[in-house]
Amino acid sequence: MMDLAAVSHNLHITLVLILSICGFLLWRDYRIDALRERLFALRGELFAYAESQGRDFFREPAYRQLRETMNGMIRFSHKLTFSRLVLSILIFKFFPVPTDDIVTAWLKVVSKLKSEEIREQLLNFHWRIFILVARHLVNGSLILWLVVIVVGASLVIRGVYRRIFDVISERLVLRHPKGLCLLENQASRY
Amino acid sequence: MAEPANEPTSFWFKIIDSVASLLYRLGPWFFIFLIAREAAKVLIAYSGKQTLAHVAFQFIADFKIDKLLCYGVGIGGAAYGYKQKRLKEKTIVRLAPEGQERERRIDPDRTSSRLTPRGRTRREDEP
Repeated sequence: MMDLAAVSHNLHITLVLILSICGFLLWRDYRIDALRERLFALRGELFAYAESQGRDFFREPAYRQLRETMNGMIRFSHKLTFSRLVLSILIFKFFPVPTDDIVTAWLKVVSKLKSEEIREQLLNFHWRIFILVARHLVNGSLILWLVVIVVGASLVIRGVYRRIFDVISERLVLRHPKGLCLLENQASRY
Repeated sequence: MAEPANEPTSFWFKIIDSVASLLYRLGPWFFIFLIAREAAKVLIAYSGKQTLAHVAFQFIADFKIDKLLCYGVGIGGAAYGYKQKRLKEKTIVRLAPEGQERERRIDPDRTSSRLTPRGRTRREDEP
């Protein structure tokens, strides 16, 4: 039977859980603002780079399209979520429809640029957008966090295992070379 | 880069948008509903023995100094964060036009992210 103190205790837990959800909502807004801030900084860098290439560079389609991409990412940062990504992948897997491959189109435009240095710089900016967005998706998803932890842990364990195995093998070879030579001799006779 | 998507793609994009928006909006409310349902179960299990006033009194009486401090730190932290956000928005309103103006002088055709002057999502873009 539940006594009055237990009821009160449960209500306090309820209150804490509701406040945690409020905290989560604030944190969700913060993450969007943080991503936007990073993208704005990157866009500022891109602008400075374009300025350093001369005013004509601002009319370059590769630059304009990259800036448009950044603007789109900033504008729709709140829509960059793991659930939306999974949903998109699933829908386009089961209902394949031809989509405009905007990235390939942009890469074509970039490949037409004469300067190798400018090409590399623009590709680098594009890569940095991708990294920022990918980090944002991983940071905001509990499922992806678990995947990262499990994969990370398995890589660490595999690395440690391999290291231990290497050390043991090395010791075996160094300390007991005769035994290994005997095994090798036997194997070569088969 | 923002070329209009073709018809079937647009249709699926709208579907994705609608479902994701629903999850985005309803997600927190779903958890609040689950928590409230569990709390209601507790209250129903106890109902009839004493009045809600007793439960409320006990609930308030349980606000001992340690719990008060925890709630205070939590709510205070959230309030601090919210104030900082407001301050940042005011700074954006104050400083952003200068940067925009400078960029526009160099590149008159510069494109914008179309956020509000405070750096928030536009109402029509909200999920």
